[in-house]
Amino acid sequence: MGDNHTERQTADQSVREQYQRETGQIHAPADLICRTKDAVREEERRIARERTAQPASGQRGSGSRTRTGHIYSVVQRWALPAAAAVLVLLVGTSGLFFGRGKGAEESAADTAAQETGAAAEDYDYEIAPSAATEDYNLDEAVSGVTTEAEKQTQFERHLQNMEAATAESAEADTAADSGGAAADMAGKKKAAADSAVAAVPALKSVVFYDKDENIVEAEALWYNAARIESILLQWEGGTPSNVKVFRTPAGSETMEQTELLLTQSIADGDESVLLDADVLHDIGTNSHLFFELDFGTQIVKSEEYNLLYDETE
Amino acid sequence: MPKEEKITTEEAVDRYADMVYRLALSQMKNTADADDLFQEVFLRLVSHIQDLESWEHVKAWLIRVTINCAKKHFGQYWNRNVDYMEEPERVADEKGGYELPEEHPVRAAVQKLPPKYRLAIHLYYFEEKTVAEIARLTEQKETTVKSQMHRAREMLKDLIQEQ
Repeated sequence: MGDNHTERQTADQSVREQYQRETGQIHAPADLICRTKDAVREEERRIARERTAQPASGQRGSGSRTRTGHIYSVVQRWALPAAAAVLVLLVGTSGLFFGRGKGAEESAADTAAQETGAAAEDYDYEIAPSAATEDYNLDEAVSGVTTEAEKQTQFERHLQNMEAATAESAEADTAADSGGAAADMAGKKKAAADSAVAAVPALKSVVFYDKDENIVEAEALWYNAARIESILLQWEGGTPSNVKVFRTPAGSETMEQTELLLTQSIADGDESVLLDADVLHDIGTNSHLFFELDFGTQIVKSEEYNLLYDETE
Repeated sequence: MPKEEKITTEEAVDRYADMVYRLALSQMKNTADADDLFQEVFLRLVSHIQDLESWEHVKAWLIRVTINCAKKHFGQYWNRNVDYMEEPERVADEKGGYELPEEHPVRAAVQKLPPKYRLAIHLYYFEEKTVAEIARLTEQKETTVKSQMHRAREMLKDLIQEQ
């Protein structure tokens, strides 16, 4: 019995040593190591670029987290509303101050001028929501929503916000029409200025949604393609004739490996498109995803989004 | 760990390329898949390298991720249902060129084992991990690993005798 056990152990030890010898002869090919190092360097550069671009552009919203858990752009969350509130307070206070400072005679003498001026001022206040509509940022809108997911899905809220903003814009237009000549002039100047800004075609936002229409966030800068069911793209400065979705397998980082996954035609005047993400489910390997918007005179390319495919999540 | 010893992904490639490649080769059905797995593992490491405090952590992380990536590979529908043509194994010589192995009877026998047995045998025989360590790495009970090792040894003995 004891002899058998010792014999088995000796045989196992001999197999083990031979396996070690045979496996020890195998080395990772030098060209594979070289390619991997190149890919690693490229990946490090891309992550560094993303890290520097993220806080500056604020594209990922105020809730984006780094790997270590720090929140990017914490200031952004409160700074904009606070600045707007201070501005409104200052304008209101200064208006009140100037109104009191005027004498009765002066006020009486300037009645007509004040009326015209008031119309123009009214118009400016009324048109503010319209400008707000154009500057509406999807990511900012949804970034703080995650905690209120129980009340309403983020996607529905986002759509409602957009509809509300559009309705306010329409009201502003109506008010502008009835605002008189001075308002008309001010409105035209503002519209011209706005259109000059909006004339540059640009991709405003890219948002990934899961099957429950919740936003799919990146984990350590990687999105799980298995969870993505649709992709919402928003743009400004015109309407592209089509939107193309491309992917490059991670690791290859060469244009030869890039493949076109989807081309979607866009109707005139559309400002967004919701793409079906079925094509992402066949990818299999880790990839970098990017979008191209063909504005005719210009092709706008998005940043690259890292995709992995993990059904177990 | 001393502060000046900086852990970088490139250094990790230099240190653990062979280990990851051997493990990948033991798990995948052909060298092309092993190459892909090798690259995928190190690319994943780029985003996690900051969280790993020592080279021991890096090594354990690489083994675990290689195993998980291999599992995921075979979990995909396409890879579950496709039989690859037998491909002769390549072995890189010192200059980085390829040579066919001379006689690898034990490796050939191990490659014929089912994947879970192959993994246990490779980690036990070559990486010299204990049963407890293998259980942690593969997220299984120690008793399961012990029974896998027992069956794998029995099958291996038969396979070697057949050759």
